[in-house]
Amino acid sequence: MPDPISRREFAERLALAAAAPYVALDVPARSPSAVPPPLPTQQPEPSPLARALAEAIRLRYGDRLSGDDLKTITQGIEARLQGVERLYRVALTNGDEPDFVFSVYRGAD
Amino acid sequence: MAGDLAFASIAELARLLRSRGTSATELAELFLERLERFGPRYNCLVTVTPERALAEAGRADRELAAGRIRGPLHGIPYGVKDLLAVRGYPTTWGAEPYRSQTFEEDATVVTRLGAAGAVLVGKLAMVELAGGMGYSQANASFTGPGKTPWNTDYWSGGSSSGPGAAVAAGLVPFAIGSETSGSILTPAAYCGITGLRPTYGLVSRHGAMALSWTMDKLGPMARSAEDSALVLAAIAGRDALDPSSVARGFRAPGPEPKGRRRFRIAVPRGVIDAVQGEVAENFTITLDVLRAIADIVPDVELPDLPFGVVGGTIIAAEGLSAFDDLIDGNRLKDLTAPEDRIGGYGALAILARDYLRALRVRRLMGRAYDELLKPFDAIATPTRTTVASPIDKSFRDAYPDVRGGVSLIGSSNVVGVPAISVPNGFGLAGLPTGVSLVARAFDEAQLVRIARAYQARTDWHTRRPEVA
Repeated sequence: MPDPISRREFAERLALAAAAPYVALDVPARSPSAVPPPLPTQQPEPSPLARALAEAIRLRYGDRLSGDDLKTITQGIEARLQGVERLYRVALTNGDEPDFVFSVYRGAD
Repeated sequence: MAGDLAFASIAELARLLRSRGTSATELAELFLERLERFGPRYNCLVTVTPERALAEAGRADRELAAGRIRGPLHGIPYGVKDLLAVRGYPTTWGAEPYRSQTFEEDATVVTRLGAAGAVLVGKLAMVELAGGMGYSQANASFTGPGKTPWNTDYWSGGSSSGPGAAVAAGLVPFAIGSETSGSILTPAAYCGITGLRPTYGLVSRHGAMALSWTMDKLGPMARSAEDSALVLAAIAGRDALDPSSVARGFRAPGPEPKGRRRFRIAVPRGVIDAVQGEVAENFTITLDVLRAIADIVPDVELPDLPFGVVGGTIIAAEGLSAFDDLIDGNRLKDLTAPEDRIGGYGALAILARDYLRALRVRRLMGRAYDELLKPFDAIATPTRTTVASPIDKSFRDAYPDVRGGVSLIGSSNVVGVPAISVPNGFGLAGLPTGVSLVARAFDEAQLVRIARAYQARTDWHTRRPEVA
């Protein structure tokens, strides 16, 4: 019997699997920080938000995507949304800036 | 003799060049011939560059004859992953939509290697768009699935699949790969070579395909840590054409002084729990070897932060933007892997707030990671929890029983610190395994020292697959 996992771990693993198209792009077989156990065979029912976001994609690009494609995309969005919750559990202050750097441009005079 | 030359180290080739035991032109011809003859066997070649190679080699020969030695790479052939721009040749990014793309200038890395006297002999295969659209199988490039020279039924790893296989098979002495989240370390492990992923910003990305502007790195893939250091020394440093590049160079470390203090190497808790059997065994033996030079500190706990979500969000958002033209032009459908043809659309649902949140959390992660690494010279893990997967299976289905272990590939890429992977044995189906060392930002020299000491005590990096 597999080890029980916490709700948080479950969400992280789902998110990693959903992010797999990107995170795992280079590490396809495994997740970035810890290897997830097998995903539940049954996909969670997409939330209304996931459906709404997928609908926006369908409205714009629906002519290119089959029903199965849209289902896959919707499930990916749902998993990503669950993972993103963890981003908001990390405490940040107003002074915690994004770690990209903008530098002002001044061309040759 | 030719076979020996094909697998010789950079230092050995340099010695032969200086003693007139060979010439740069002979070496260029040898590796051009090997690339053309064996490259297709491993699906590792996109384009040979004979005109450029012979011109660079001729110049190197004239300079060497005149005693004008540019450095240890002078006259040494090499290949680049086909995401680096090279004037006069296609730069395909491994993807059908860009198959005839050309650029008017060389990538900075190519320019720097040229200035060091190295000789470009070929552009090497890669997973399409460096995997940016979500491939889940080896067959994700118009050149076909990359095959490891150790067993061509198995994958060479990605996304620097061509550099990995070409170095392992003796088709180039070294190559340049790129890594966003594992693309140097994974093929290094699967092909039994050494891969050095530098700190973000140490090597200019100018002229390289962008997948993630804040996570892409370029680095050497070679036969040994020593060779990797020689290459990194030639390509590192600030570049005005890449604002993310930093004003730090890199010097290949000299011989270890006598009486040098022992290294301190940490090992994460649970690092080999439920990984593939041979991977665990080889890692355990590796630690025993390292104990000769290092104190091993077991059961280190990694920061409890959502590295996966942060990395996934950043790469997805930046990758989507980087390939806007494919979405807008409806050209994703022309990619090789079916999953890549729809992989970009889901990222359209990432909110700007979430992307920025990920970037803000990453800054905290960088601090936490640095605190974790500070007491140690490196953290060691198996590079991968399994050997390479079969080319005819999806990654998910390759080794369904292997679900354990701890990999630092994702988290260390998120925070941009350096890592090196060196071969440490063989496992299932005669396939190589690797061990990775991760260090603090800009501590590449420390990684090279440890890896070099390990390779001085083992011979895994000198093993050769059957090629001829």
